[in-house]
Amino acid sequence: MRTYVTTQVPRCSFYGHVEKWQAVPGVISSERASPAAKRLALRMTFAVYIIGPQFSGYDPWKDGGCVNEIPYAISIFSDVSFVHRVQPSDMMKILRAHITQLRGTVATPSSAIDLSEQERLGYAMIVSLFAVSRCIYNFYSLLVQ
Amino acid sequence: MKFIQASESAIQDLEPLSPFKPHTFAFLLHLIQLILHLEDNGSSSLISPREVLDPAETILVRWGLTVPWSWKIWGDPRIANAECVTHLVRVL
Repeated sequence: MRTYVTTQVPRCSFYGHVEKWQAVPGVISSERASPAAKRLALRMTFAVYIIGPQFSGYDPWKDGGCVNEIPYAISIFSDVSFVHRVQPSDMMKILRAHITQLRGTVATPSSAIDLSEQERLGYAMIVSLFAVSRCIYNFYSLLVQ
Repeated sequence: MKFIQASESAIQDLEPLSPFKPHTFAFLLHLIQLILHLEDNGSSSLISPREVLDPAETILVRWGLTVPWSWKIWGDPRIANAECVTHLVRVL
């Protein structure tokens, strides 16, 4: 898995700092990333922000949430220290940009049968990530008030 | 779990309840429709729940906060296609 990610992601983006894992969500909406890299970035983001917290109870939105201890669930991805700086608002921005890119290409409900399993998985991850970012964003806003 | 508890209060969304939703929400609803295969215009019955979820449906229903959040956002029957969020719980 790790090798696959490292061969896909850096090559197709000119982020420069993509070795830092917090740059991965940005690849989802990157104009320059290949479709394969985008799919991969979406899946990794889903793993870290949705699956990870439910497995190990860490909070991926907290600054440096897991610098010291890399939870098992994500340690398979990386031996790099995992510093999250992605805020819920950033995540929603990324997803909105991605949605704008998708808008032209998505099927109408009547042709939904033609959708591949992979496409449906990707869509489900987008909805799921957006819902969670939105809820966390609201929660932070409540704290500030 | 702290993460979930925190989010539960956050589901009490800050947005005003309005029948008008931004494009993003409309598109997300469209994606949910695609995932649930609701092409048959609701003829799939709410009464007979599905026994098996495919992976995409599992992500929607079991992971994350999609179900409570979508009820909050699309709970208003005046919104076009809002009935498809009802189908989300059909599979619970």
